[in-house]
Amino acid sequence: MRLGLPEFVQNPENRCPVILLLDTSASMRGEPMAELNAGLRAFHHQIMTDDLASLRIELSIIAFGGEARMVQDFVTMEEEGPPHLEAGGDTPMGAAMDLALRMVDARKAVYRANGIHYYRPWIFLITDGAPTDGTDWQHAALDMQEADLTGRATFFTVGVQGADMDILREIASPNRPPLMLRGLKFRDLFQWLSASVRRVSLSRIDGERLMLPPVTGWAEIHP
Amino acid sequence: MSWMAALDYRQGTAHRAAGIPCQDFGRLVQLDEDTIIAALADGAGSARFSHYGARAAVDCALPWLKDRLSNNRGSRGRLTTLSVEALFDGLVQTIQKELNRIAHENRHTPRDYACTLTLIALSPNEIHAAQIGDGLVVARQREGDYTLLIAPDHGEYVNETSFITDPDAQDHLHLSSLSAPIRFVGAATDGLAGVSVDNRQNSPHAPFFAPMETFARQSTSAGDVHNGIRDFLASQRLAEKSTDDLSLMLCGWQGYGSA
Repeated sequence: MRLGLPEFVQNPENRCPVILLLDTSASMRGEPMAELNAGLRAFHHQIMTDDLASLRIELSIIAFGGEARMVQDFVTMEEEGPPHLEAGGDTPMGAAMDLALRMVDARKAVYRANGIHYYRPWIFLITDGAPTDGTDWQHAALDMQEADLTGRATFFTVGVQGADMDILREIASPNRPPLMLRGLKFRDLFQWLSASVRRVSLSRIDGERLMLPPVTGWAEIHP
Repeated sequence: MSWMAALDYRQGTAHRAAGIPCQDFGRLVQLDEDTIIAALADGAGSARFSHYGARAAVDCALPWLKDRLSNNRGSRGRLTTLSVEALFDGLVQTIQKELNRIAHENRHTPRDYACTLTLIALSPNEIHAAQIGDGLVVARQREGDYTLLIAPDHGEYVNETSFITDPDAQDHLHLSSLSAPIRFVGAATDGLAGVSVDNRQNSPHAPFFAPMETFARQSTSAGDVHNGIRDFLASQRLAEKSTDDLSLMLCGWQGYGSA
């Protein structure tokens, strides 16, 4: 007697939503923007090499340069390649954070309506400056910190050369102080990000204790 | 033999590739012709020694449950005189105490041993089950469909669950029981949930469990059941669907007096 072929239920794949909040203001023009775009392509490529992760990770991109704009709605890596971003305008970081939180909630509602299980969303902000949208950013930052502390999403902040790290520290969650990108190592940053979200999307974890790869390849260590 | 029952567990392909030990552990004990107890545990991916935690939790829970049953033996086909609440009263404290002791001895924290635990006591007319975390238990009565006796318990996020080492573990203890002639029981850790439980209906997928029941009830020895489970857990088909550690218990009732 052998165990026959139990039929597997066709559940929708679990989803791991990731939002990139990318500073595309005028100061990013030139090499920083080229390296950021190269980093996005590397990220896409690395996720695609992992069959399961490429089905689970859904990437959305919000660019903030002149205005906060959703450049890409949540899609899996299979569905769409990375967009090419252009730099210009000021730095409406507060509006971008607001938009990100609204998108997280909307996406969760879609998942729930369709019986899709999901992972804690990641919101990953990268900037080379400081917010230019008045005091809006302060309200948005408080909302974002609350979201991180209550588990609505996991919020990371990364400063690129020229970023106002004092303000970024005010924006970041107390759980996760901002990191400073070493030079223009966007590709290393995105390699780390892909390894980290793959790790999250493939395993079960203790929500309060994320175990992520070391950031030493791309981040400056500040005392 | 009246029950044909076995349990096995296997390291997931993702764990093997990453050099992470198998964090699942389980054991099944047939106490007498009618009575089976079993425990399945799944160590937290984020806890350093959760593979030891899973083993220690199972090895602590089974003798404890055996004592609870033998001190409160039921009559006329009943497992025990105790209600399910009374039967599992003290379970969380007992396991926590043991894991705290091990952690203390090794100068670790109890959290380093975090794991889920699913515990089952089964007779032909009754099943009592307890769960902390995202294990699952499916049962079928003599007449009826497969029911999810214990559903995987995860919070909002699919990869976050409760562990027996959590300070508030008692609040996340789920109990379930069924008093009726039972023909089949299946139990698993979360590695199999995605292929066996319909997420939209939150119900067991009958075409997954039906061949397993047929197999268990028609097997001629517990060894055969064990081999069948082992081959299934090792199958390429399954590896394509789940890269996590896998545990599966099958119990099929063959009736009294069968060879």
